[in-house]
Order: sequence, then C-alpha cells, then structure tokens
Amino acid sequence: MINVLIVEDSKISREAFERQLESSPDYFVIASIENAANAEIACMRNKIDLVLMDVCTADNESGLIAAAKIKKHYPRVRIIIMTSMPEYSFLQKAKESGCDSFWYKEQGDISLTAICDRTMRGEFLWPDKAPVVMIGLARSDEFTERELDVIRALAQGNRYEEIAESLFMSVNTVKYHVKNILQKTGFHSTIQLVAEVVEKRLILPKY
Amino acid sequence: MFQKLRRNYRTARWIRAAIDTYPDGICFASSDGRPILANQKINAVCHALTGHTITNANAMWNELKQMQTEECLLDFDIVSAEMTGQNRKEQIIHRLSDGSMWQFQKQSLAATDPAAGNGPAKILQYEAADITQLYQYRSRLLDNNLRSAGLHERQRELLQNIVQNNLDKEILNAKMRIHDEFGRLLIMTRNALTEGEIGKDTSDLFATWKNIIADMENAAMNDHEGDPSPEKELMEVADMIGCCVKFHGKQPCERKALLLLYAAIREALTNAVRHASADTLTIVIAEQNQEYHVEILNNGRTSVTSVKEGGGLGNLRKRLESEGAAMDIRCENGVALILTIPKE
Repeated sequence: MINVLIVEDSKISREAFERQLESSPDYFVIASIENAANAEIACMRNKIDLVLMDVCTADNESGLIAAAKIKKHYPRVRIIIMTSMPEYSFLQKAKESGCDSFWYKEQGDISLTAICDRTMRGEFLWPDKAPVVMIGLARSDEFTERELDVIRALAQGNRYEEIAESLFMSVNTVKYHVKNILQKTGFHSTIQLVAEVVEKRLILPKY
Repeated sequence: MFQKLRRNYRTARWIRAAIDTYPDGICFASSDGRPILANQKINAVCHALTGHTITNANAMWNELKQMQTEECLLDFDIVSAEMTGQNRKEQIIHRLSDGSMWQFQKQSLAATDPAAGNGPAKILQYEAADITQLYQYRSRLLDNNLRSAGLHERQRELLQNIVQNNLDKEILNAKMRIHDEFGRLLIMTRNALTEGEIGKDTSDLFATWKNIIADMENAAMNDHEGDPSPEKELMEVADMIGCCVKFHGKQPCERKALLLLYAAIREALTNAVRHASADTLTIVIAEQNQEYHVEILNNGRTSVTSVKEGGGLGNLRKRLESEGAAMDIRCENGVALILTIPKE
C-alpha cells in the first residue's frame, strides 16, 4: 500500500484527487492538506511514500519550496508537482528541488493514477516544456530568457532602475528589452503587458 | 606714453565689447559689492526685477534674495542642496514678468584687485542665466515623474487584482467541469432509464452520481468559505507525527500576525520533533498594547546550550523582521522561541 499526501488548496480538486486515488487498491490517502508549509511536518516519522504537491497553495505558500525541503530531509519520498499554471519557471524550479515528476492538471495527456503508478515504479515523468499561451500577438515561447526575466521583474512592480540593478544590466538595456517585448506583443504599455502575462499565468510573481 | 594709454583704452573697450556680447548676464564686484565690470544683460535683468541697475552688487543680491517667490524658493532649495564643496555657488531663481526664468549665481574668485594693491583679493562673480527652457523641461519631468508614480501604483494594484481574479477563475473552471460532468451524467441516466438498461451498469452509475453530488456539495461550501484557519490543519499534521500542540492565550485575530505566528510554530514544531524528539509543543500568547508576545516551548531533550540558526530559523527570522516582528531564541530548560509580533 502506498501512503499518499495530497497538498492542494482547492477543496473541489482535493476531494476529486482523493476519490481518484482511493478507487485504486494500491493507494491510501493518509492526509489531504491545503497549505504546502505543513507538508514537511506531515512527512516526518516516515509515514508518507508519495506527495502530490500543488504549486500555489493556501496563504501563498509555495509547493516548490516545500518540495525542496521534503527532498532535502526525506529523499525517499516521491514527489509529483501538479499545476494548472503555464508559468514557465515552475518546471525548472521543480527540477532544481529534486522532484520526481511534473503533471499539468488540465492537459489530460496522462491520468493522475497513471502518473502516480509510473512515478512509484521509478520513472521520472516531465513535460518537455510549459504549455504555450498567447501574450498579445506573441507566443510565450517566442520570448528570450532575458526578456522573460524582464517581464517577471516588471510583474513584480519594479521600476526600470530596480530591474537594471537586480538583473545586472544597464537601464538602456532594460528599455531595449521592453521595446522588443512590446513590439512582439503589439502592446502599447508595460501595464497592458503585465496584466496579460499575469492573467494568462505565464508569470506568477509570488511563487 | 600716449600709445600705452591708447593701447590700454583699446583693451578696456574690447573687454567691455566682449562682455556685452556674452549671452548671459555677468558682473564682477569687489568684496564690498562695488561693481568692477557688469554687462548690459545683467543690468537689464536686474532692472526688470528691481527697477534699478546694479549700484552695489551685494545689495542687489540681498534684494533679489528677499524678492524670491515660494515657487522660486522651492527650486532654490533643490538647487542649493545639490551644491557642495569649497567652490559652492549660491543660487537664486526668478521669474520675469514676460515668463522667462533666470538663475542668478554668486561665486567667490581669488584674483588680484589692482585697487587693493598687489595681494590677492576676493572678487565676487555674479551670473544671470536664462534657464526658461531648462525650467520647462524640469517642470515637464516632474509632471511625468508624478504621472509615472501614479501609473506604477496603479500597476501594483492591478497586479493584486489579477492574482485574485486568477484564483476565482480557477474555482470557476472547476465548477464548469462539475457542471459538464453533471450534464453528461444526466444524459447517461436518461438513456439508461429510457432504454431499459438500468440493471447493467447500475453500480458505476451510482458511484458517478455519488461523486458528482460530493463535488457539488464541495463547490457550494467553497462559496461560503472565508480565509482558512491555519490551526485545524496544523493540529492534524502534528497529530499525524505524534506531537500535541497546546495553546495558552488568545490567538491573533489579525491575519498577518496569525500567519507569522503559524510560520514560527511550524518551524518550532519541525525542530522540536527532529532534533529534540519532543511530543508536546506549548504556545503561550500574551497581548500587550499593539503587540503579541509569544513563547513557543517544547518538552524535548534539554541538553542544548546554544542553537545555530540554519536555513529554517534564518529564513523565519528574515520573514519576521521584514514584517516588523522580532525573534529571540532562549536555551534554558530546552529551546524556546520568543516572538514579538505587531498587531498591524
């Protein structure tokens, strides 16, 4: 029997996952919580074998940070990161945290029980890239890494001078990137751009 | 002799001509204010402002200083503050009746004054520069900065709203999925009833109905839920690992203070179980004026004399201090976390 901890802030999704897993004789949902900050505590005393971890959880606690802590202290616990957000940095951060698999909840290419089964068999299941969304006239995969850094800093509410300092570039370079981004997207202002990237969840500054 | 006088006269005329063609106003005066050389421009500007030309440069300067309007004083303060060091220039800004802006500067020069003998004398240089265009650019820049600060603030607010909208959207999507599932199930049930096949897959159909009813109940409850209480979930996970959490005193009702308290409790709980094998965590909360004083104690091993702040405690300290709270660690009869959390 595999003991599972579900970390998911939406009650509707949490209970749906519980039902799906409990329909299989191999899994037992030992606990179902909404705040990722409690996940590390739940993993103490070696009762958990598998954690299904949402990224954006209650009280703005990040599932990726919680996953990194769990993997550091309890490396034998398998972790599947699950999200419906196309935020481009989540995949990279999940890999850096040492997670085992990554599941886009709404893509439907693999079921929850299938990804759990394969992960518990020792497979590492990772999508090639984050889902593509349209930001104005541009596809999200058309932006360069540096442009995405600038968009993230803008979405965090930073001014050009602050962005330049944090990304180790000149203010003119920041302006150059912003100009290119606006040209690609067809937007007239950075407010329009930030509204769109956050609305489409390409960037979630708190996580 | 005559030629020398003529040459001197010619030189003086050339100097006078040169200084009169200088685009800005300029005046050199001795330290007592006696004008040595002043061009037409500075006299014209001073005349436009005071009604007379320069007879004593120091008196003129004082008069200009007293005449400053509030608008010009503000600018004067800004400009003066920028000037530092030994060669500090005093500055005054004035607006003429035609709308043009003039900046007056006073600077002390070390030069030889023939009238004062051969020793070095203090010569004062007064300049008047037309800064109308610069002033306009500056005013426009200030306006733009104000507008930009307003837009920036709006952008921050917008961002907050978008994040909340995203969460609402996610819940709405889940409800739409339930709705679709419900519709599909209704059709399946109708087919089963009309085609008389109710006996075949009854258990599957009932199970699906059970699931959909549970989902719909959850969705309805979700609408009435406020901010989740962190206590219930923490108690559950603490119970899972065999640790009892006891509260003494009233918990903060302010959300921010409550979240900080629970972040500290989680850290203390993790450390107490991991390093001290504790099975009870006691939280004592006292409310004083605008603060909460909290002590988090455990019943674990008591041999610890000092605690090294690693990633967990270090991050907790950073988070608490960034929110105006304070943390102290006491190592007497076990490790205790002492917190001071502001109400707001």
